[in-house]
Amino acid sequence: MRVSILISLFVMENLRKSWRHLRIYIRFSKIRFVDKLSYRAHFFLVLTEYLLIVIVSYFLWKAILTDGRVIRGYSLKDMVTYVAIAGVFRFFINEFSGAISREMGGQYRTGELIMNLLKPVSYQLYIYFHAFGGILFHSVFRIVPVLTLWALLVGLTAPDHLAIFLTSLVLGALVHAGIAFLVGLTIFYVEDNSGILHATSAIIELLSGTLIPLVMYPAWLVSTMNYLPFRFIFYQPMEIYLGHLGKEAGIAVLCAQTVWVFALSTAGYFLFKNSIQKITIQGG
Amino acid sequence: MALIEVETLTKTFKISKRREGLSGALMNLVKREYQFVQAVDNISFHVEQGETLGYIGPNGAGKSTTIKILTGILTPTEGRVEVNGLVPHKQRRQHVKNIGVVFGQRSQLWWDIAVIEAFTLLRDIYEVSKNDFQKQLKKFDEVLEIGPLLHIPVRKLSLGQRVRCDIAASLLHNPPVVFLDEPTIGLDVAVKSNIREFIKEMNASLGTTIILTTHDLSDIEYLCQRTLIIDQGKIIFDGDLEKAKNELARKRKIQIDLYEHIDIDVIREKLNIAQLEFTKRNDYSLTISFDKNEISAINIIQTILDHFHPRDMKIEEPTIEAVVKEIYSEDI
Ligand SMILES: Nc1ncnc2c1ncn2[C@@H]1O[C@H](COP(=O)(O)OP(=O)(O)OP(=O)(O)O)[C@@H](O)[C@H]1O
Ligand SMILES: [Mg+2]
Repeated sequence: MRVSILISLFVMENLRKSWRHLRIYIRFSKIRFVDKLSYRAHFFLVLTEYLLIVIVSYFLWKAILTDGRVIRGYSLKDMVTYVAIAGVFRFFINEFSGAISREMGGQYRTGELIMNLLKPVSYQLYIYFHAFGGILFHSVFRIVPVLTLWALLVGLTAPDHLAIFLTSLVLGALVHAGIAFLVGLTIFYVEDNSGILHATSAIIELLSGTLIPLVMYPAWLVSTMNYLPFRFIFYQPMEIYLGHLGKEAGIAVLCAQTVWVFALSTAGYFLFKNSIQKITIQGG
Repeated sequence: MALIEVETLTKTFKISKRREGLSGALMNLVKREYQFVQAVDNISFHVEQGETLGYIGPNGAGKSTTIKILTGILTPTEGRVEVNGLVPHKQRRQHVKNIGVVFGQRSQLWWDIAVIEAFTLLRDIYEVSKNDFQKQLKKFDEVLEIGPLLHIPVRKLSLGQRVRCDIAASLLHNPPVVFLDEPTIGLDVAVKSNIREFIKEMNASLGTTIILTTHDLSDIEYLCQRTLIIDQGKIIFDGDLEKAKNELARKRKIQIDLYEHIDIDVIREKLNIAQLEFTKRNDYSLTISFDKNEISAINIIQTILDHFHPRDMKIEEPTIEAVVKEIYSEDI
């Protein structure tokens, strides 16, 4: 009895501590979110570009998938939903990579990195949460309005297993953050990593499925991608959304995503720890 | 065990040489040449709890490099560093909880947010209670006059305003060890003297250990019982600068203006002391230099009064700047 009280006290204490820590990182997200609010005018540009791309791919797929044809499990209805959502995600997947990898480079050059190293916070979590603030901004002010508009004008399939889908989207963002952090670390080894950033940006766009569903790729590429984390960023969550996976396979995806999140973030943690010992701080 | 222990510390920077021009840039791509800079060269010192240590030296001497190592953001090439029983670059996150750092040349605050928001964020990070936080804010407002700045984003502050907020931010959690690297850069006279007063008070009432780097030697004179002088990565002086001033700069000067035309030989004859040095400034004015431990100024003045008609006299004490200059030049 007494032991169980002690244990529950211990658990409570730790939860309280974690919550206090989490609160600090959430404030970093909030700062980024508020900061982003000042750039809202940009929205109409994004919307126009989005509509152009999505409408083009819409007519393209309409021409291909005539008379109820289904290619590799994708009907026209599936495909239209896929491109409508992929179109809006493409933008901010790019921005999210930048908010992590490019931000790390910028902080290294300006010395902001030092400032963060002088505080008793985890740099990795700080960078993650800072970028999450950006995601939140994009979700509220871009993704949701654009998709609502699209749903009203053209129509969208409703998601299968909404809760599993949303969870897998969040985990997908974490997988993405893990990759972007690792890519960002290259700034400590090469003076100018913008080439690397561009290349990985293109790879992420291709392999996460924001261009076309990954099943459309040649078989050898599809089987290679099974061993890589990229498809968990967008393609797998979309497969859940479209109901191609069902509940059990959906949960299996969540598990696989969790494993990748841990693997990538742990790698990031140790590599950062290691590189930070090697770097020289720029400036007086 | 001392609070801060530095043993045979060395930091070598490896810099890739850049050749000039386009052909040079192409050459750089093919073959890199490296150059090594010994920013800190085998230095050792201890600092006890409650000390205020001045750390001075010419530009590029290695001061900031040492501070960066002590604060854990730079890894030493060789040697041992311990602060509060922690190795800064290895136990960085633990270490920075106990220290306050000001780099006058760069901001410690988040660029995009208002000062007060940065402060409350730091309050949460360092787990300062709301009560203590309010007290600190009030204290800082008195000394640093930051009240009117609290709602301005950091990027819109002037240099001096930013430094004031930076100082406040770094001391918010009452750290037992404080590193100040040129903290009074860009500050006006009034704020500067407030800050000095504040640092002195903090050291006296809380026993805070302070390491202060500055080019303003009056800061050092006012605050530090002990000073380290570093030059080209090596420590060339460790002790009380005031004492050094008395020992090293024993030379004193008297400037004398007379109504009559000056003839040095006549004056030399009247004074009749061997170790005096005479410099004629113009026909009516001269400077006499002497060792103050051997000759009293009164003797000289008395003799002058007895035999000549002085219009004005001025005794020049050696300045701390002159002392430091002398230490630098002795080193070379
Ligand atoms: N990141 C770096 N890479 C290469 N060399 C560096 C680096 N940082 C400092 N140095 C070199 O190390 C030496 C010491 O620099 P440091 O910044 O410690 O000088 P300092 O004593 O703080 O000078 P100041 O009074 O100008 O601030 C200088 O010769 C400088 O060029
Ligand atoms: Mg410096």
